[in-house]
Amino acid sequence: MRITQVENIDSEAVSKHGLPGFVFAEQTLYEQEKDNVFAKGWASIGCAQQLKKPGDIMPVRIAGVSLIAIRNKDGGIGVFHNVCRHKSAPLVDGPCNKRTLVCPYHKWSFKLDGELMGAPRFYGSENKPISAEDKADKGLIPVRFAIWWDIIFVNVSGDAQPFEEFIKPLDELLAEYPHQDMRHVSSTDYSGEVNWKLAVDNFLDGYHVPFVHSQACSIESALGQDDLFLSDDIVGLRLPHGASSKPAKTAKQLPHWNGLAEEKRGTQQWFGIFPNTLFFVDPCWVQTIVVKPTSVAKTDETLTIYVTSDEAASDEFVEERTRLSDVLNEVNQQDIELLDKLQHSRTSSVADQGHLVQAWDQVGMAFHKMWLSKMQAK
Amino acid sequence: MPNITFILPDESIKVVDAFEGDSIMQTAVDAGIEEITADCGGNSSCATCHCIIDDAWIDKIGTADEVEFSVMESAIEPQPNSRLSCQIKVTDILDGAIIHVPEAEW
Repeated sequence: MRITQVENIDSEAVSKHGLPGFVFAEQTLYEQEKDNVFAKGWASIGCAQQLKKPGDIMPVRIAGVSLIAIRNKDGGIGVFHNVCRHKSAPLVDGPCNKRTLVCPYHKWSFKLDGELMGAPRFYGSENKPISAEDKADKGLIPVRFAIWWDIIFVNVSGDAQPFEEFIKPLDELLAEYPHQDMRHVSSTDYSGEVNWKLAVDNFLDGYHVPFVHSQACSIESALGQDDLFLSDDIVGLRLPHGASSKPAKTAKQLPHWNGLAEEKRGTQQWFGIFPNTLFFVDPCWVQTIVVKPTSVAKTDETLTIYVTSDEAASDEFVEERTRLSDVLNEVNQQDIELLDKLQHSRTSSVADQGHLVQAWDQVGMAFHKMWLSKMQAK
Repeated sequence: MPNITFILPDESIKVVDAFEGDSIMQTAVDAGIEEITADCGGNSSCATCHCIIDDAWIDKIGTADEVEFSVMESAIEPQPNSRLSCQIKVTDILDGAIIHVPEAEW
């Protein structure tokens, strides 16, 4: 008898078959995920270096919430709901650079730090500017956020555990990498007709890499995969020699991280940070994919690439960076095409009878069980 | 018609015929000066009509009042002669006025 309710999903069954197909297809479940998984968790919305100068604003829609990240006048970052405090019109439609945010509906204006600055004719025929007292409770609604390895994480509900606690096992694992030196190369947007969980599962699937992305990895190097279980929210994979066993395409390589221990100079590791952050650390680059569901079977992604230092970001390495960006985006494009097809077959009733493979699929199983535990929590 | 001289950030000059009763902001927008984005439509709310009055004209035009100055906090590098151009009306007294248009982005 087919399981059709989250409450009835058995964790043991998930280890064998993965989550049942209906969880990737039901809109009502997606509606519950908006709160239980996204609003209550630490979800990523984008990368701070995408906001290059003061006044840069990036709107993000993720799981039913519309937010803006702003680089303010002093160079810091602020995150707010993208919602005017009058009648809740959206303030920003697309990435832009502004001196103030002016609502298109009644021209209320907000400073880059979120404070209400002006509301035309607020008192009607009494033509005086809105008073400080009347402005005080009408600033943009801030969102709790943290920036780690340049990723902007938000907790919309406001009551998740402190971010430092949440990220600690991964932060400690990667402590030797001088990530403050990393420099943005590119950010590319993708869109798939697929449930967000299949995109995350695909990233945490090491088994498919030598087959779908044969240009990037051989089966021999993929066999060296270590599974990493860091916490209830963070899992990953490691290839101790993944980076050194690729065919050398040119004589010249991007610079490694400064000060990296010899035994790490070939190590690739990648992580799923629940719910939606896909994060890859290579000896010479970093890739972050922010997965943004907009409906049960519609997911946007932004794939951001970094190199390890100012030197790596200089003119000397422009060709190498272009090649890196092409390679990583080609890999993602291959996955997106596969995912669109997977959405149909993975949601069928017979998908509930699939057989996960002990040797390869443990990390994926762990992600499915993380989701289950959040959704079954009372 | 009074004419207004705008000096753009790249130091090029635009001399424009202005209509009496229009704001300097409106005159700039009609002349296609892109830096004056006039986001709030002339309601003293956004600082995107920010302009700097030439020293030779500041006495005739006048400096900003308290309200304008508070909005000016959101402008890029406000100066003592900064004004919100939406608050300055064109009259024939302003014929030949020189207005500096600052950068619109940091």
